[in-house]
This record gives sequence, C-alpha cells and structure tokens, in this order.
Amino acid sequence: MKACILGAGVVGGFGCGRAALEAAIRNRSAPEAPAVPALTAQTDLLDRFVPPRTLRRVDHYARMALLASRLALEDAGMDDGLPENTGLIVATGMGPTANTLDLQPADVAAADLALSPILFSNSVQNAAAAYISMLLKIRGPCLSINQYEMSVPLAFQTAIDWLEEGRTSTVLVGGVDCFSKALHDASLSRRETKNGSGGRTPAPVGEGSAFFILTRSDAAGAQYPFVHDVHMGAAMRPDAPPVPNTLMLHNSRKTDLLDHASAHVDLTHLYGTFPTSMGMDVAAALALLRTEQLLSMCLPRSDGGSAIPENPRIGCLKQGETGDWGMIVIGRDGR
Amino acid sequence: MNRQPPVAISGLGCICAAGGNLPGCTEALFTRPPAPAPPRALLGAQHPVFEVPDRFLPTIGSQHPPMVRAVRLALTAANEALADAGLTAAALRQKRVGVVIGTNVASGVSNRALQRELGGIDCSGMSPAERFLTVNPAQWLARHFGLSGPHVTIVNACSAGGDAIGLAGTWIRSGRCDVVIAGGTDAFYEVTYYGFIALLNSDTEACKPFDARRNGLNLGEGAAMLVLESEAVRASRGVKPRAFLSGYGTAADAYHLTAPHPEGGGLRVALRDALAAAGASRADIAFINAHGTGTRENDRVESLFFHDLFPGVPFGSTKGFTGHTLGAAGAIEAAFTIAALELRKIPATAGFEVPDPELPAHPSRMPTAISGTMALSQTLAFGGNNSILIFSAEPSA
Repeated sequence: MKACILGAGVVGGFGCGRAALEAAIRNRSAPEAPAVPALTAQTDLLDRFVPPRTLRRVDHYARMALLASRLALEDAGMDDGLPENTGLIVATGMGPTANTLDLQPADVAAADLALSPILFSNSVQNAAAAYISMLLKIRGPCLSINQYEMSVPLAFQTAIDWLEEGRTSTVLVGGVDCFSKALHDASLSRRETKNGSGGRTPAPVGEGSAFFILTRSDAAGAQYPFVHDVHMGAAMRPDAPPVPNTLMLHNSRKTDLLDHASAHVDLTHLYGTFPTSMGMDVAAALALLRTEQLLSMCLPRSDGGSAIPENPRIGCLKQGETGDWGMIVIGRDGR
Repeated sequence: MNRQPPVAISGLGCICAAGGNLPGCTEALFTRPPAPAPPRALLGAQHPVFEVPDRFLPTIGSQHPPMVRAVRLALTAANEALADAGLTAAALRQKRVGVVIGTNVASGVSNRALQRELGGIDCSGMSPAERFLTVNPAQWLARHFGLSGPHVTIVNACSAGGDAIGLAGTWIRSGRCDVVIAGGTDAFYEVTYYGFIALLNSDTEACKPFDARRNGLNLGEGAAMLVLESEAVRASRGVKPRAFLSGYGTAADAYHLTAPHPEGGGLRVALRDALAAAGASRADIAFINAHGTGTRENDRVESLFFHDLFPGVPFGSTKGFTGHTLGAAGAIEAAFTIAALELRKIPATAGFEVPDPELPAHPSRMPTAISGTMALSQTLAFGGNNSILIFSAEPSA
C-alpha cells in the first residue's frame, strides 16, 4: 500500500515551513554557520498557532516538534483539526537530551537532588508526543520511538503498518532532535577528528523537526505525493538499498552505499546533520517533486540537460553509525 | 480497527524484585510479596523501591561497550524467553528475527553515567555508536544474538513495554519477521526516583493499589520478554504456544501531561480497538491485570473503568510485588497475565487492604480462581497514553 502525504511541516536552521525550505534549496543558501557550529531552529512562529501562556512549560525540543506538526496541518489544509482517530508517531535520536543533561548536573549530591517537576516531565522521552497530542487533540494511537539514525524510517514503516491494519486512517508522523553542545563536544566533533569526513566537507550539526500527515492512498486523491516504500537494512546483512529512478538524497557521513546510486545529492548543508535529519530529506524530496526546476537543479547535468523520468521517485537514504540503513522512497503522485 | 489474526507466544522470560525468572516470580505472586526498601545506592533516601537483588542477575564478563543495568536485565529475560521457546542463538540467525523493546530509563542518552562523562574531562572512548550501543536495549539484544531483522526501542514511558508487544504482533502479521523478541526493561535510576518524588507521586511506604490509604507508587526495576512467532515457523518447529496475542489497542487522552483523563477517555478507545482486533467482546474477558500504580488518580480512573465496562470481572494489580517498573511494566504484567491464564487463577493485590469508598470497583484481595481463556492487561502512561493487550489461551475466542 502506498501512503499519501497530505502535508508537511518543517522547522530547521533554514527557517520554518515548506516555502522556507524550498527557498533554501533554490538559492542553495546555507544559513550562516554559527560558532559551534550548529544550525539551530527558531520556533517563535508557534505563537501564531498556540497562545504563549499555553506554551510556557513547553521546552525547545517539544516546541520544534509542535511547530512542525502544526505547519504540517496548515500545509494539508487541515487547520480545523485532524480526523477523530488520527495517530501520532514521534521519532527521535536524542530525545530531550539537552533538557535531560541540564537536569542532572555532575556535582549534585544524590541525596539532596531536588528536581523541578516541570523539567523532569520535559525530560521524559515521550514529552514531545504528549504535547502534540494535547495541543492538537490527537486521540488515536500514539508512539514515540528512539533508534538513533533509524528512527525516521522505522516511524514511517510503523505509520504505514497502522494504515494497513486499519488502526487509524491518518497518521501524523515525523522526527525531532534538539542540539546539545555537550554531546556535540563529546562525540560529534571527535567523530570527524577520529575517522575523517570521508573526503567530504563535514556538514554542520543541526537540529529541527519535520512532520508529515499520511493517509491511505485509496482514501485520498491521486494528486498527492506518496510514500512508495520504506526499506531497511542491517549492518550484518549484505543487501544494499534499491536505486531510485531519479535521485537519492543522501544524509550520512558514510558513503559506501552510494556506489549503487546513479544520482545523489546531499542537502545537509541546509539543515545540518542530526539523527532524525532524514525527515528534512523527505520534506526536501517533496519540494523537488513539486517543482521540476528544483529537481533539475539537483540532478547531474548531461549533454541533453537534466532528464526527469515520467514517474520520478526520490530515495531518502540514511546510514547509521552502526552500518544499519533506512531508505524512504517518495513518488510524485499516484497517477 | 480490523480484526487481526492471533500471534503465537512461544516463550516467556521475566526478572524483577519478585523473582529472577518467571517461575520464581509466579511463585512469589501467590505466596508473599517482597518488601520494598530505600534504594541501595542513595544514602538517606526515604521512599522505598523494589530493586532486583544482585543474586538474581547472572554473572557477565567485561563488555565493550559496557552493559548498562537495564540492558543486563533485558538480556537475562530474553535468554529465559528464548530457552523457554526452545530457540537457540544459532536457530535465530537462520530466521528473520526482530527486536522491539520498551523502556524509559534505557533510552537515548538519559543516562547518568553518560552525564558524568560529559561533566568530566575524558570522553575520548565514547563514539556516538558506542554510546548508543550502551544504552539502547533493542540494538544491544540484536547485536548480542547476531540478528539482522528490524529492531526498535519504544519510549512511550510507562506503556512502552505493552506497546512493544503490540508492535511485535504487527511485525509478525505483516510477514516482516518470523520471530520477534519483544518486551520491556528498566533499571533503577536516581533522576526518575527524585522526579516522581517531585511530582508528589511517590509513597513513603509500600504502595497500596486501589486502597483507601494509597499515596503513590514505589518505583521498581526489571524486564520481561516474550517470544512471538509466525504460525508457519511455530508449526514447522512443532512447539505448543504458551498463549496468543489476540488484540492490541492504544490511544492518547490528549488531556494532561501527568494525569489520566478523569473518565478514562483514551483507555476506552484503546479497549474498543483491542477488542475489535481480537474479534472479542467484553464478556469474553476472564480477568484484568490493572495498571494499579497506587496513585490517587490512576487507581480512581481504572476503578471507574472496570465498574462501567467490566462489572464483576476480577481484576488486580501486581505493582505491590514489583513496584512500578516504568517501561518494563507492560511487559512484566503481560508475562504475569499469561502465567495467570495458565494457572487459571490470579494473585491477590498486594497492599490492598482497606477498600476506598470513593472507588466503585475493588481488586481481588485473595488469590482468585478464574474461568475463561482470555485476559486483558493494561497500562496508562505519562503523557496520557493508554495501551491494552488481550491474551488468550486458545487461538480464537
């Protein structure tokens, strides 16, 4: 079964919303790299949708997820709300890491550890899902998963499973990760130092959130883009991802799986790298499929110019540090 | 929700304060509960917890990356479940085997050991992959057993273990996996301990689920694993299932971050979906393993739910034997539910002595014989998540 994508919402270092992402791709404009460097996201736009008083206990991690979710509703023309039994799946690689680390200073003596109940609540791994559920009135199945770089393909796979088994007719699915300078200093920068960058200029670290509204293809019109397939592979299994007919969006430091791709592009300079940044690639794939000019810009040039197949498919590939990989294949429409 | 074919459960494993394996736990459920005590690692701490005695844990050699306690608990339960199912590691490697583990503490980087490293000077030995392998139980088990199937860690707070089992059923039914190791694990964690105290949800005495004097939960730790098999694999091996996963329903309250919906809004939707998936009705349910944490609100909502929808159906809470094991709770209680189906009796609710006149339904005070072949286990979670599993002794109701 193909799952139609009714809408997408993104929040990242490039800005908020589909138009901001499309503009970044069109202008090839990477945001100015800050000192860390990290492409951090702003969530002020959330005040347009939710009264600030309601948000006073919501931390940055959950705000990003909430804003991306709300933008996905807007993009889908569902400002009045989602269907009754809509499901929610939140993928994260780090969870509310920065919050958690703030919560447990190294020098605190265990016996007199006094926690703020709000900080503690925000440190629970499904806090973002809880806020989205409460504020968008989602009362269907609700799942938070944490499998580092594989979280987004697993979330999409689960969303399609839910649609197929009739658990729900609509799923809000996406990913969120929050930048943590402590983790960056401890591991990400060291990774480049230790292993090199594979001959590529390392992308800046990022943060952000991308959410999508999925429904069964037989319940939606043929005009919507769709998730054609989700492929997963394990490090200890020798299979490689299939080659999409048009383009592979690649989002990993490792490049060995790219030998199989005829055309590939890395857009992480626009939003940075983080465990669930594959969600940004899915949003970018939707933008490329929507606008041929953008897609042509990303395809390799040949003598006859860029050739776009009749039914273009874009694969979004993420390879994890452990060698596991996931690929979400997006098609233009169901016609 | 469409009706779903039942999925065979061929192996069970469990470790918690009540016992080092499922037979040990089951014996404790029908004899006497362990007594909670202040956490061993926190001098001066008052609120009691149910910790797993070190003697329950098998000795392990040095590991790299180091095995955190939650993973050690998960591995202990998984080894028991696989042995119970008659599956060796070599046999697993010939099949498409998935791993789905629910957890709260052992998720991502919510890890105090990591924090200590970050707060110190030397992080040189810790790559992201190493860190991830250290704390992610699904990844750890998949690597340990050499499995190449899908693996995922569910972080749905207190319903994570139940949700993991529900998702495992989907993986079997969809044909993605031949076998799935599914369950939950959590270890004692001081931040969670003080967090529940901060939320005023922690009892200073042993917890008293559904009792008039109840004043909060006791944290616990442990793990339970179930081995789910496709019918084709089970038939080819000629093994008799211990039970079947017949239904799974889950729904959000969309109400409050830390309090359940007062009328059990999400719980009722979860029940509707679980029954529809099982092709069953409420009348088919022989008994219910309640979440029964001992907090004022949780027990009030569940009591109302049982009174409205399951009048006269025996129910009980096992938190007085295990404490609240958070991400492991749904899995541990699933194992207990299956064990009770096999024994055809449910244990007394430890800690329940004085019925609360404000609650319309009360749990079993004594071990109770049950009739029927289908039972329900439910979990309510932080963030308003509600999940219900239906198990049956026979493949259909």
